[in-house]
Amino acid sequence: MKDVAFGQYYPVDSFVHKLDPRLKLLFLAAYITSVFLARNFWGIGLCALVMIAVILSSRVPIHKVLRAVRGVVILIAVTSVIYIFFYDGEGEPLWSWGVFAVYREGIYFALFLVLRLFLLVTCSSMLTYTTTPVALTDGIESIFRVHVVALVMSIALRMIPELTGEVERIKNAQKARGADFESGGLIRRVRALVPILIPLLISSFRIAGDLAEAMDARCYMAGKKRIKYKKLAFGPRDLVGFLVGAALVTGVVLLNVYMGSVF
Amino acid sequence: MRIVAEHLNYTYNAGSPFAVQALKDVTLTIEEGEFFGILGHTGSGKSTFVQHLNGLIRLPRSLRRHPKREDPMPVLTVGEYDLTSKKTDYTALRQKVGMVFQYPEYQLFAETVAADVAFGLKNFADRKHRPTEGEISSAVHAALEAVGLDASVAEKSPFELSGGQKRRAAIAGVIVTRPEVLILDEPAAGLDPRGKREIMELLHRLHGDFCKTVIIVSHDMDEIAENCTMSAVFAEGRVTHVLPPRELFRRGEELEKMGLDIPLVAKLCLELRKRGIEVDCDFTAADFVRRILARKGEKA
Amino acid sequence: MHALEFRQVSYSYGEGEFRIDNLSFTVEEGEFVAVLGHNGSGKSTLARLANGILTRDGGEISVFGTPLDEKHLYDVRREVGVVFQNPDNQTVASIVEDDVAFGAENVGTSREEIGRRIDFALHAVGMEEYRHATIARLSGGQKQRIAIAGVLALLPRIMIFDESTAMLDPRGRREIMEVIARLREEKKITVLVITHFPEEAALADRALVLNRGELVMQGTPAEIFSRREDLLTYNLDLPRIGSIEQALNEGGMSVSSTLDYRILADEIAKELTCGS
Repeated sequence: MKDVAFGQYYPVDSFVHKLDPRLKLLFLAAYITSVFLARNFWGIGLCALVMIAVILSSRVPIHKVLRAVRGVVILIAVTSVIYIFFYDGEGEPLWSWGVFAVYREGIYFALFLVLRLFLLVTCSSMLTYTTTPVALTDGIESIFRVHVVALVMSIALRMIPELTGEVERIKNAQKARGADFESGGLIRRVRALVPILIPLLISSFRIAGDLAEAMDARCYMAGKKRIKYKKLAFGPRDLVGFLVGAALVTGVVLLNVYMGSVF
Repeated sequence: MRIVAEHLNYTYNAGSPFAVQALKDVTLTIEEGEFFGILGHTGSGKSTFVQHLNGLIRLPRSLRRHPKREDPMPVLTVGEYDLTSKKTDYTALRQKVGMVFQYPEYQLFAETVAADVAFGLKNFADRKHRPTEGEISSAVHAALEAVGLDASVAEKSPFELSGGQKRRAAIAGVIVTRPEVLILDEPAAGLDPRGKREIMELLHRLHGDFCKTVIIVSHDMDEIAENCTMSAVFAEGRVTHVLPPRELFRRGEELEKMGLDIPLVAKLCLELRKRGIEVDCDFTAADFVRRILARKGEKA
Repeated sequence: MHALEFRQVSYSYGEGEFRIDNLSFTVEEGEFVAVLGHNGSGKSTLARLANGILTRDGGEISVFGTPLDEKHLYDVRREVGVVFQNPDNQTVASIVEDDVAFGAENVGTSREEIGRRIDFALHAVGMEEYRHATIARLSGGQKQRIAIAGVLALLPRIMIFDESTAMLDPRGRREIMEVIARLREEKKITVLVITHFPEEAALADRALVLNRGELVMQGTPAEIFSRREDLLTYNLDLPRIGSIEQALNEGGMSVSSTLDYRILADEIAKELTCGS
């Protein structure tokens, strides 16, 4: 019954959901490029604005989006602390104590980094929230022209919730037999994983065997060309997405030129 | 160990769009020495409830610290353990409350059956007085014997055993620490008729010799009817009935409306009532036949 | 022409391992046949042999007259759909529609046709509303209905259910048995149900009993279940109703060996009210 945030599609009907997955992948690429290109707060602000628009039009609730960011909060916190306290700026520090010195640039850098990481994680999780694994792999398949990979990825993605559930079940069963996964040193903890990993491995083989049989029974022939039910087609909606993406990159570049760089 | 639960609530994925309230104000007492049956559909909250009993699911912290005034304070005690307390020793509790999950054979992992059965024994062992090899070996053999496995399987790999043997080995791995309460979630799931019968016989043996209280979770009403001294019905997160099985099946009509599969004898009684024949029947087939034949005798 | 024919089929898992031994039987078009047997009796092997997932060591298998051989493997597989036991291990995609499409995509001719097959299959199992749902969030019975739809999308004329209800709760089991009954009545699909629940076998036109890879009994469910001693030897569950009937008859009443509790209630009522 537990939920897995990673790779979990959020099933609502929205503008963003309906976009062609290839366009979404290209948009993601354009977005990441923009976030890295941005040299001042105007640029990164524009990126943030676009992200807010995307989130609003996707109808994915905001706390769901924030949950995806939760995983990198520590990373963001640690790096910003390092930037704030150890960045050697020019001119007078704002505050100093021993080896620690806080410069204006340090704070800017940290803030910039936080925004960047935040936007990067948000935009990639928006892709998985609004695109089914099948659509996503279809998109990848269509862009990179690889075939079996798409099926393998689709199965792998669909197994994530199941295997997570399996781990939970095995873990509970061993906990009930007094297993302790939380205390002790590293070696003790790694050894404590054996009673989970072995049953998990056996379960995975069993599931794989069952699945192979079920695929066989449904006339799957490796290598034979399959007709795809969901055909990808660019529509007017996708044109809007394309224009927004293109405008974003251009906008960020222009802002870099006209507003100057912070650094 | 007496088990007392009052006003238990539990929600999975609390605060997300997929939040599911699995327990709603559950109040239930299980006396020591019962062979207790918990009935209900998948998703009725029965598994969530039993996982509270050995602390695999814990009461939400917020509830323990700041009970809302309008909500009655939850109570959960298992013998001397108060699970609403922050200081509960869960390791000690889990030694006293053994839990056998659905398809327990999927938890086997060790190289030999003996090592697998000894797993819990070693985990629960007192840090200061570790059991000797001899003590471990004799406890393992006693557990294997109790579940009806031959001593010769002890040195085999658990993966060489047959399906039914694997399940027994897994049960041995739980009872080896001599828990006072043994909880089993669908112990007979996936077994063929003989396997089912053998597992239930095994549980009756364990109930006498090994564990004071046995709790089984099942969706098979016949299984509960034939084996339990007391039963509770869960539906949509609530406890709807707590009755001895024979009382329960007098309420066949209610249960059928709840979508539960009632036992054959209860179905026959209902059908006979529709035809104007009141049979005050017990839940076993033998009782039913006896009463019908007695009626027939009176007639003649 | 038989819908399915096994002629002296044998199969072994390897030296000395369990096998199907010289098995012969036929299933007619539109028939509902139950296959009973204890764990390890070979009943699941039978399902896998029938659509060529396992290759027999000897004998002949044919489906609507087409022999199951290398040349016709996929023709036969298309006609014989198999639904397996575990509702969690049969789906390849995360979303209902994508999963049902999988089989159709393997054999389909055009996108429009695949779309029609998905409509047909989801309608047949009563899951149209769940077309865009995430499979992981469905109940066991619903997952199994999706598995059935995934097979139906291949438009098979024979469906084999290999203990497809064994891992479900009573509600899920009822759902599946209702779907099976509908497939039979509305879609005229020939059905083979492999089970050890006597209540499920009771719904069939005919029942086969397997023991150690051999066909040991054959007949209507009522005939099969009246041979109580034989069933016990083959380690099969007796329908509970049978033991009640036997006890009543031994006690001097005369009730028939029906598998329907309503009929039994009628007969008991008659005995008690009319008197002797």
